Amino acid sequence: MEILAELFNSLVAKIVAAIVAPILGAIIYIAFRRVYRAFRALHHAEAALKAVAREQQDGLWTEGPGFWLKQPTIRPANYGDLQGNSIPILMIGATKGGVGKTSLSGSLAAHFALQWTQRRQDPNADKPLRVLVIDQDFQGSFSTMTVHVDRRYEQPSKANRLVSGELDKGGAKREAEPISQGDMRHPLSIWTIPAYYDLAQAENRMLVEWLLPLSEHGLLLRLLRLLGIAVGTSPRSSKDLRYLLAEALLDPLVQANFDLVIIDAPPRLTPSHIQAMCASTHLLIPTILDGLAGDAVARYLDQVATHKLGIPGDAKRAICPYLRPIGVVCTLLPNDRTNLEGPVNVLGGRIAAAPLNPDIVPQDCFIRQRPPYRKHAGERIAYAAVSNDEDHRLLRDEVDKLGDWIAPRLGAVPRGWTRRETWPDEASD
Amino acid sequence: MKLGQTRQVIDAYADGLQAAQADKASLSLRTIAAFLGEFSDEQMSTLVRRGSKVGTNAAAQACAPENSVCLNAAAHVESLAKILASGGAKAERIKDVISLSTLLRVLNDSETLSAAVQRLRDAMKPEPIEQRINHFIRRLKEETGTGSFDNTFAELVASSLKREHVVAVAMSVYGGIKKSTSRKAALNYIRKPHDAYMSAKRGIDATGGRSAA
Repeated sequence: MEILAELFNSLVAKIVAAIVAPILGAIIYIAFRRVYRAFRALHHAEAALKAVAREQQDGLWTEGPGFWLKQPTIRPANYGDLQGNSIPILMIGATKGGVGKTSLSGSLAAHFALQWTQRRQDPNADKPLRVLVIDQDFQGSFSTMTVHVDRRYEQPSKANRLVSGELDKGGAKREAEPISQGDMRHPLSIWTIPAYYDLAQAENRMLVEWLLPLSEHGLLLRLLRLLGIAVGTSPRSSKDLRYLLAEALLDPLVQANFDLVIIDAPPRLTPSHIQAMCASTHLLIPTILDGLAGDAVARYLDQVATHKLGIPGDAKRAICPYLRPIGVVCTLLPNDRTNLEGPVNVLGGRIAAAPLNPDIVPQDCFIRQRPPYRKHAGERIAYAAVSNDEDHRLLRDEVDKLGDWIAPRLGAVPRGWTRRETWPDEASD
Repeated sequence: MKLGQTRQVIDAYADGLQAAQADKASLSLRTIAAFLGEFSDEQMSTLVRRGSKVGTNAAAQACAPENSVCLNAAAHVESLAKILASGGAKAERIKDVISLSTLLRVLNDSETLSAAVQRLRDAMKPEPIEQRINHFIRRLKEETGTGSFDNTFAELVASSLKREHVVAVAMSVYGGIKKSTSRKAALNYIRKPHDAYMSAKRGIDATGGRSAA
């Protein structure tokens, strides 16, 4: 009887131990993990606060360098080499809204797709340039102009996934939409990554996640996932937010399948804009020709310099050292305005005050308010519209001149690009 | 400042010297004041710039007699500058008086003060108009975005250049404007590239080195 009682006791003790020990272990693990995560959270919170901290200057608290220059800077592997050997990535950027960035992006994309060719695999055949346009404006104006309504509002938008770093490893190539709006010249070798309003939300999310990089990859969560038990936490990128677009566009699949990337950047220094700076090889700045816009160009150039060169005396903070501003182009000029020498000189005076001084493009390359822009707004790229009246010809003529000015700066000849002498054959004409 | 204003100061000092029976010094200063009166609308900077070109070289300075009339006159003008400084006069006025004394020292190889003043008078003769226009254009372009632009611009405003000449300067410095533009409007155009630079520079200096996100 005693032996039986002893056996029973030891069995109970073993069962209890077998149940209690893992529970205890899990409690201890969770407790330790909580404490560890609390310390990590504090550390990241301190780092985030430090990134946005103010500095004392002449007895006053003024804004510091800003979180976009936050250290450490974790660039993609071989970032310099990849950028140096990249296809041209042309950013159309300005921090002032309403200066015609989207129209210009569309016009230039259509110009390069229709007027330039390149010999690729087959050295005896000229193929049109393949242009990828990244729409980074959450209003999605470029997407509205070029993507059919059925494909435009998918959730999440492709720009959302791009800014979140989910279109790396060739994803940007696979997800790029061929433009599909009607009444445009055909074939048109332009693809786009459409944007919609969820891009704004994605940018905010990415910013918070980047400033507070708390991993959700706990051991327990990994185990539960391994066992196929769904866990409702959203994935977070552990990479440097600033280089997610660079990583996507410098991917070999994107580089091999496109000849030119044009980025329609948003008019604020949002995550998308900073990502565009870090991914692009060239920068073109559109501006209208008035005093306010001129000052805005000078300040934007100062911002570009701050991110390209680092803050004065601290070049290590540079985040986009390979970005090259190639020019400032005046847009939305009234058709009847002919004498521009004075205002252009004044704009030149403003640009001269900035730490980077790109050229103002020649006046015959300026973009005027041609009626087709308004006529085709939101429906198609005016440059590529099938209409061929005088207004369309004038519009194309000035965009062509601008494109011809830009092309050598993008390295057209060494890349084997050739300018067409006539318009390509058109099925729709 | 204009030469006419400096003339008034020197005349007043000459009156004082005369009252103190320092006739020789008073006479020297009256000669200088009379000369300044002839060009009362011109700027002191113009006189200094042109006068320096007719001044002697270093070798001549070394050979100059110790009792050179110009040196004596310069000493009187320097005394005036000290009096002005101790009396709390405007810095601009003191600076002009000191510039004048420096100029007189540069001319110390002249036999008489009248000869020195005559050399200055010759230097102040109006230049051929195209040369003056080109001179302004070159300086205004060079000095755009620098502190000396305002001096040159003030010189242009005070100059005897007529409307059409100022318009010619504006056409080159600013760009194409109507030939019928008024002198005042042309002057405004001339300032524009410089003001644009300064405005942009201030904006940049205010946020420079920061990421304005």
